[in-house]
Amino acid sequence: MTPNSSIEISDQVRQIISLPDLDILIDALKEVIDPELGLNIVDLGLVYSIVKQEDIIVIQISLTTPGCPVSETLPIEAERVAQKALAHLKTRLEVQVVWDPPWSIDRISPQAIKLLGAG
Amino acid sequence: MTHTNTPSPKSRPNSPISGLPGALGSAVPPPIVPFRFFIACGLGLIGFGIALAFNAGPVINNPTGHQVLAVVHLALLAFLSTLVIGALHQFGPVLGSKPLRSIKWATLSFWLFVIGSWGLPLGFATGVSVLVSISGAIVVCGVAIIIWNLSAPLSSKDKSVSATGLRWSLTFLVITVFFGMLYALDRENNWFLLVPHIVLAHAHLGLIGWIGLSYVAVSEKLLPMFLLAHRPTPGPGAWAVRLIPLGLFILAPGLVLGISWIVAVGAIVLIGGLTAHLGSLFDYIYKRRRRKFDFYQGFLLASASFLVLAIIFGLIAALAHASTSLRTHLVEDEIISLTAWLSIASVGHLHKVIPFINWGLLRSKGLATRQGGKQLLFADLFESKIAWISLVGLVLSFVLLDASVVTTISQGIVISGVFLSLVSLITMWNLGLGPKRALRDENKGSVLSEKDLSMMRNIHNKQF
Repeated sequence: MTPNSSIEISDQVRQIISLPDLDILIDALKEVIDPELGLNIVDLGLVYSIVKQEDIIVIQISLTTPGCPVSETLPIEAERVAQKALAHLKTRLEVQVVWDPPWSIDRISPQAIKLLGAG
Repeated sequence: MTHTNTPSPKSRPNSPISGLPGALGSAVPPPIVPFRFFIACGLGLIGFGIALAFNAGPVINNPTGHQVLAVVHLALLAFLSTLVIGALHQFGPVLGSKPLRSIKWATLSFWLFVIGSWGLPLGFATGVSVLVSISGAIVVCGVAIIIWNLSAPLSSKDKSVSATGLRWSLTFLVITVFFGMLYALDRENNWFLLVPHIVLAHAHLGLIGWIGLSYVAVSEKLLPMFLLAHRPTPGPGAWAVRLIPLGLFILAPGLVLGISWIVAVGAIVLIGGLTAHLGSLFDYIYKRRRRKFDFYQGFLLASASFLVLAIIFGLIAALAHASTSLRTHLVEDEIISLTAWLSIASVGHLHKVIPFINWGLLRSKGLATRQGGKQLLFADLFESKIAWISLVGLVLSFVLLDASVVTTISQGIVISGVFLSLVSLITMWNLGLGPKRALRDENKGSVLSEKDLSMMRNIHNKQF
């Protein structure tokens, strides 16, 4: 299995986190479900990138709309599952919400579009 | 691995999560703030239905009489305004990423508004003018606090369609209250004759300017979110929030002064604004929606149909050569259809807003999954089949009400009133029972461990 193709992962991150661990991380992020849509944040294209900033691994995510009802809960949930998934690496890890570029429907995976049911 | 849709360099975050617009921190008020308004609005709909059933005769024979005034104020104050104010207490801080000025004052404004909005119709119904005056004064105090409280989140620099529309709608709330005070004082002092076209100015300001524009504004934020129907530009919704206020600022003085050409110009501009709203709605539903058809879209389409019906009734009443009696009933049907438009849309949105608030509450208690191990979703917190029943009940009630008024069959009004009360009970039961059902199934689902909860609390404290 490979991480979702819409997520940008920097080379610095790849040097710190090996491929199996990246898979574990992406799988963990797939456990975070948008409670309105019933789909995970990876398939919704809400996970933009995983980058290294100073000594912290930063997972940049967005939300479908600024002021989205779950804007407080989803990032927390994402950080929790990510920290749990990579607990064995002893790496500092954070989730940050970004708004540029704004999330668009084009980011949803084809499978997720199918599940939403309105093509 | 391929990289698509890469964030641009300027998106690289340097700021902590709490500084970003989506991270609300403590901006959202405690759930009790909107919830008590929602409970009160449910009781308001029950009261409206009962009052309607008991005043079927006056609705047909004396539509501007005290009994009908009581019915109308129960609908517009105790039900619709209460619902909209509750929603704005939740939505305003989310939109502006700024909290209300005071939760304590929000509590006080709730009690003032609810007491006044029940006292006023009671005063009308019983003919006790001192009760009307006192209740009116209480409503004015409540509204003043509500405006002051909401002015904090809505004074943000947000120039979105929703924020602009809400600022206008609150302006119309103030104007509507002013008209109401003036009319109440006039009933005591007989300064001017309260002829129907003057009363209609008040009705249009309240229904379209205050409640309608609130819905139009909020829908521009909620529809893309709930339908996954984002569009790059504001679209016709931006015209709606400009033309509706402009139309009302022309129409209302025209009605007050009884100058028909001003009324006509105002009506044209207003219809332009309402049509822009309908265009925006249909664009979201038919062109951009990425979700399958569900009860929510049923509510949206049904409510929009009543807006179209209201415009048709209004136009027929204005243009057709009809008897005074028939014209009166057509205008009544216009007002009923506007009420239906907003009632159906609002109740539909309650099925989105209340489960979201309840979900947050349950999550804070650690409830993670529903029965079967799947994650708890908003949709698990109510029965969508019952939501459909609520929708059908509302549509039938208002269709029956419209038909009964224009055909002067009072039995239909009685049945419609009973239906409305039942719909309210069913909806309150459906939305109120969701969390209890989820908690009851807790043992069959799972809760987050104390370690997980502690981890989430730490992340939350760090971020907010």
